[in-house]
Amino acid sequence: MKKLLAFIVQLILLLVICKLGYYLADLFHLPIPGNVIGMILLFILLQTKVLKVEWIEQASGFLVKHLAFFFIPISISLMTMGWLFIEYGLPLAFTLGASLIFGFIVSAWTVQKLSHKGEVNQHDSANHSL
Amino acid sequence: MTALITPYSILLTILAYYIGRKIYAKHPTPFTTPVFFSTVTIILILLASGLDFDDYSPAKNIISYFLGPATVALAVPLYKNRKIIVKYAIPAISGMILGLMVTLTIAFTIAQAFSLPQFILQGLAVKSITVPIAVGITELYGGDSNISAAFVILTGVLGTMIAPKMMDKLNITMPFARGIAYGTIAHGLGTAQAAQESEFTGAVAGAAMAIAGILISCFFPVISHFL
Repeated sequence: MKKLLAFIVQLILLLVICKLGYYLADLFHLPIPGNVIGMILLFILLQTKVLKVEWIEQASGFLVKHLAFFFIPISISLMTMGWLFIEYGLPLAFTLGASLIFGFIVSAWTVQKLSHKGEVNQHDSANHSL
Repeated sequence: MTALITPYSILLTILAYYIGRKIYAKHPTPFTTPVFFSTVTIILILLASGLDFDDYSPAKNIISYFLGPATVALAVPLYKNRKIIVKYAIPAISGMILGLMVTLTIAFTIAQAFSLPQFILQGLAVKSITVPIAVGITELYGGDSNISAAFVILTGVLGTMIAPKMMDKLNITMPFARGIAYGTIAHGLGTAQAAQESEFTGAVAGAAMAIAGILISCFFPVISHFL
């Protein structure tokens, strides 16, 4: 019961930070969506120790772990887009597939190659890392 | 009777996701990834129950509402892994920027070669970042947010279906590199997939998704020049 209460309080806290993010984005006409501002805000609160990770860990851990779940309803909305796939199906599949595959390869391969190099030079970089 | 449709839809979504996760844990194949499995199952059940998307819509709005706080919650993996991300900042940022540039360039080039319409290009521009950020950008700069969301989802679902085996074949085994790619190119769905590989991979992917979202948000005025 206590756990559930803590979870709900944490969830409300995340909702408030999210709303605050939207408010700030609106107030300052920022070119970044409110939820991203909320995320940056939470990071700053954690980094400055205003908030402790333990205070929001349950709710945030749950939301991040089950992030895929929250996408399912949007995915269901594909059932209304039959026309799009009838009209542009093949070029669209080709565009999405090819850009995805090469994006993945380039991104992962770059990180892997550069990190290995980093490990070789670790003695040098370790001194500068702070 | 109609009052029951929304709780029924929500329950159906939770159940399909729960079963999808169980099946994927036992039989990890492209067609059993939880979101793909749940989507197909739910659409079939809705159709069999004589319901259409309008009936499902209220349930969608309730569940999607939590994507806002879920995005905010990404600050936690970002914070927890800040040391390793700072340590490998240069490889990570290089991988993210190059990956995003390649995926967008290829998408725009192919789409323009097929002379796909402008609203499709606008959707493609945000396809690699998580839905709430993609929709946020679309609302700010114009475009059809349903189309944006659809491309984001298709990219995520395709990514979780194709990427794991593809990276195995290409000998990309380093969890940090896999995590960055999952988060950068396939956002939340990629992150969920990464989390199935290991907690660390998932955390890195979560951080990469967050940073990719920020990068695209900040550079969108530049990206929109190419549309």
